[in-house]
Amino acid sequence: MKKAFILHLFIFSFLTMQAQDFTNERFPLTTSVKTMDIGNMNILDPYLSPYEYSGFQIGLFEENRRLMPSIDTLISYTSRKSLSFGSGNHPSKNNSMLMFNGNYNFGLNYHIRPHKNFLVLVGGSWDIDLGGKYISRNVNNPFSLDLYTNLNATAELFYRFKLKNQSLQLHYGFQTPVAGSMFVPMQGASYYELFTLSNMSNAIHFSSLHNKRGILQNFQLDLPLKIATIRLGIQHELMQYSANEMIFHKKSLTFSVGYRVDMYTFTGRKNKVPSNFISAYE
Amino acid sequence: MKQIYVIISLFLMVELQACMDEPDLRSDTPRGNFNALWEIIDTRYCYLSYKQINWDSVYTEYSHKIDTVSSNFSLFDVMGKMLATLKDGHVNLYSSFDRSRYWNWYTDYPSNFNSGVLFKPHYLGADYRIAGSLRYKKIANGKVGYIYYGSFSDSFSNENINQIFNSFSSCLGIIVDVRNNGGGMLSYAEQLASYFFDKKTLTGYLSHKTGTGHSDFSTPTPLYIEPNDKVKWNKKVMILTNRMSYSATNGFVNIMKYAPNSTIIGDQTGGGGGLPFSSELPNGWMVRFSSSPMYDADMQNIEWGIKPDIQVNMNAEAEARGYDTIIERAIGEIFK
Repeated sequence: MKKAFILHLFIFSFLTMQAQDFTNERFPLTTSVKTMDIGNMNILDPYLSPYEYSGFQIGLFEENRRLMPSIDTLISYTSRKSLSFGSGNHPSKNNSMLMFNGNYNFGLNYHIRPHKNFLVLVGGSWDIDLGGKYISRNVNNPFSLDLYTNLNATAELFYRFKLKNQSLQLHYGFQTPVAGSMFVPMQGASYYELFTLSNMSNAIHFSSLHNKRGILQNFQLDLPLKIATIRLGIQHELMQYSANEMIFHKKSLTFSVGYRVDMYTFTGRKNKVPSNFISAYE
Repeated sequence: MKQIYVIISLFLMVELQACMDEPDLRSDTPRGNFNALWEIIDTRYCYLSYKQINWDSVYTEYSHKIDTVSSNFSLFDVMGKMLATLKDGHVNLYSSFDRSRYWNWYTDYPSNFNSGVLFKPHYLGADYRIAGSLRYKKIANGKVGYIYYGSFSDSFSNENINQIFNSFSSCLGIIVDVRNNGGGMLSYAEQLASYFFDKKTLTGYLSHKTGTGHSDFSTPTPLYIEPNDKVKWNKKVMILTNRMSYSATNGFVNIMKYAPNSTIIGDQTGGGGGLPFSSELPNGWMVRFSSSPMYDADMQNIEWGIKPDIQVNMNAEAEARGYDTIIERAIGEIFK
């Protein structure tokens, strides 16, 4: 009994020591959000058709956000990955288009806190997008490759408030492309000529506000429930770009649901996993 | 706080000027669909200038007929007839109930092909072999290898060709019959031709429309054929053609004009030198049209077809006896 008491004392004193370490120091958390979204989309791609195709879109989204390089800084980085798939119809409803898209976005934001419940982030991001649209009945132009990279201006607003003793957070995010590069072949150029014969003339374009304008904005609510923090959101995208005498657009409005977790990351020799944390690899 | 207002104002300025003026689209009415079709051809069809077609006059000729159409069928017929003035087998209007077409590029000429004769025992017979999509057999007492390839949409591999060439190794030459082959994939045309070249060779050019004008074309991109590095045929090869050798087959024959041991025998090919593209009308009908013209190595258009080295038509009397005079002439050329 005495031995057991000593053992318990030893274990608890060790854990208390560890807890003290974690309470006295401040550690940067990685906030991770994963959502699924569904909504409608409208696509105009004159390389495939002069007409706007309208339909549904579904997608997966992951975001990781962390202060950098240490807790004392006012700069955070954000890494976002998204995958989406959609299908739309010709206005006459007798033909359809498939769309798929993957996007990676890395952003840096400066934090301004004008009020204890109000946080403003301003900054920029770089994103790269790869996707395509497909109309099966087209001959020699059934596929339109979407490939671009952008530097974007971004702004985000966070507002924390309480509702019936629940701590909630509202978030509004805004992104607009400023400069980049995009792949838009000439309307009459076939992919056979572009890729098999390697004639890429007039296919790569510098993009800026003169030929690419758009907004990507989202409005989200973080709702802490008993076992998870749920994120509900609405995202609106409006993107127009022009090249080679064609004007393209994509408009979408999607609703998302997912969850948010705050994690601490142990990595490398400097930041080893404390002994009271157990990895599945041990 | 002032900084925030400035930043938000800048974003809003961007958003306010976010819309570009998109072109007005035609309405889904008979007139709207007719005008949309006429404009697609006017701005994107690649042979208006080459064929010296006055497209404005065509509009005048067919436009007034739209006022009297009473159904989708009659609208389709008027528009199909307008497209037929282009005399192009690559131009079609597709609806859920019909496909307009111009087939005079072969119906106005001798067929020069009889599958009944082709399957006589002294040609393919019933005991031919099939490798990939190629039917082959040794004919003329085993001295000539004969291959029939009916569609460039059907695939074959290097190994298929290797097996065929091995079985023909004792032959003096081979015949590649692409009569009644209406085309398919250009890549298969290039692959099949590659077995007959011993060095990289310029075989033609390809360009595309760069603007809405009838003569707005890109600088032609040269088309080279690279010899296949695994399989090769160094003896004589006879290419048999007729007016139904069209599109990618036309492209194959154009390439084979430059092969070292090849001879084109039969009738002129049907043409179809323009790579076709698609577009759509407000009512959802699809239009296919030639978009990228192809040329031979001398920058001559191949839209109207390629003349054979040896012009031979099928002789009706020989045909009645079960003989194909085009194949017989090819055998004779190999024996020379």
